[in-house]
Amino acid sequence: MKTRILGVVAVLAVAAATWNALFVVPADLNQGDAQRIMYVHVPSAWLAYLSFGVTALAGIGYLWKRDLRLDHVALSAAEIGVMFTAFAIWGGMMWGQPVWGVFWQWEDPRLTTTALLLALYVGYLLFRRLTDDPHRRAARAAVVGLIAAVDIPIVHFSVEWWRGLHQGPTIGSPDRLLNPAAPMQFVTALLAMLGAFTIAWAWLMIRRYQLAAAEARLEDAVRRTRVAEARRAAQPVVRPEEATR
Amino acid sequence: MSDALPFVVAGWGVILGGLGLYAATLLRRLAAARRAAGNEPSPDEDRG
Amino acid sequence: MNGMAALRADLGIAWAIARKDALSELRGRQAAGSTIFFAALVLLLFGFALGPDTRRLAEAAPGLLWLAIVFGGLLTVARLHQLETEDGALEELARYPVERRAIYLGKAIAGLGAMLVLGGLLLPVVAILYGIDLLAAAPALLLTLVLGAIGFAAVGTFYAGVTVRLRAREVMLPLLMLPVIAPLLLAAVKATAAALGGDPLGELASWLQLLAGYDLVMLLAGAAGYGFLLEE
Repeated sequence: MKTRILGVVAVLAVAAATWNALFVVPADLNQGDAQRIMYVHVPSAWLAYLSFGVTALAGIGYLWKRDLRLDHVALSAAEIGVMFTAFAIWGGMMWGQPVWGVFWQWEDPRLTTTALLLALYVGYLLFRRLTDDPHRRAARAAVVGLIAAVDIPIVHFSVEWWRGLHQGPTIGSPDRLLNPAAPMQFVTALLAMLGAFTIAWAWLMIRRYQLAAAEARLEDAVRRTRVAEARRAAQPVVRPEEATR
Repeated sequence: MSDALPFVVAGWGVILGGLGLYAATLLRRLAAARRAAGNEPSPDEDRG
Repeated sequence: MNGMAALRADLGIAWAIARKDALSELRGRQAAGSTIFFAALVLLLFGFALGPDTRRLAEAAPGLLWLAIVFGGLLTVARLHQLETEDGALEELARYPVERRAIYLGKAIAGLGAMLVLGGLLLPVVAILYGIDLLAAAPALLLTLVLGAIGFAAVGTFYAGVTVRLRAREVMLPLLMLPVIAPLLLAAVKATAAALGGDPLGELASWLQLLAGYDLVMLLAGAAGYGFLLEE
């Protein structure tokens, strides 16, 4: 019941924040209406990285406690994270075309790092599917997730360095929204969207976790049935007449 | 810069639409999984 | 065992494993040689793809070289782990009270050796095909090669261990590894380009530092992660 309420709150919050961002807040002086995309791109990116952190931490937690529920958390965060990462990239591209004139900019460390984040997530999820045993899968996934998490800051850092030596264009920087000089209304609109998205994220995490737990129970039941069948098949057949002798 | 309009629409549309789609799919998968798992209640699950 | 003695024991085991792998490589000369030939072939094919303008090829040379090293490297690290699965040796090793870090280190050293041979042999190929003068920049180039090879071996050994028993491992190894290797590729190519161009912006040192940092982080992370893998 509590989750259902959370879900309703999430929908209302997103709707309200969206209305605000699209129709109430004025357009940016330099970037025009295109800047509105930032209100949905930045929260997506934030949640993408948050999810990634959760995946990595839950993985470490599993390696420590060997509790499969932590693996359910890791899986949920990874799946939801992939989605938000894709959104972040999409938003970045939709913003880039009107502002930069191109969909892609190699020197933008955020865009390129997020693209690699997507690759790491997708790899993680595909990798998970290749192991059937729940504990083995959880351990392997945790380890892969860990190395991937270690890589992300390195990637960001090196792309920034890459750009630094090339005097990248500074006309359109997504940063402007978070600039302290930005008008209060912009900042509140962004924070409102961020809050709404985070509530939605929490609801999604809970539901995805429940799904993972339910599927794990199913998997378990299937496995137990198969084991029982195999045992029965391995036993010698006893004819009814002989049994009563 | 209202030639940015299609991009704003595409940006927001895909993201909000995708969110909704994923949420709907989640709920459907969850209902199906619960039905299939039968009557095995779990302590850490709320039916809400 | 106290700290120092344990460390020395680990290193001894690592070295033993590295030597064993190296011997297997030399004996199974065909596989290692084929990989090197494949990488050279990739360089040739790049020539067809991006040529015939020599200037463009020369500009692209650092990137093409490292791509060829990466492709050859993928095959190399995969092969080094294949040696174990074929006769269940990896499982055997894991059963002994051998520090798993030592196994990782040994295999990484073997990988490093193979990568150095690969890279070293590709350098003259690049020089010839893309018209690059290597001699002037030789020390910097070799240093870049060593640092890059260490990083690749560190990451590659880990992921080869992760994927060795999976189905679809041929695609999973590159799929998992390549995003992680991106910073290495970036830095190695930049360092190579800087070295070849006489380092006009004075950036060579920075890129080498990045490579060294990457190597250190990945060796530690790889060793830690590998331990959990063998525990299964």
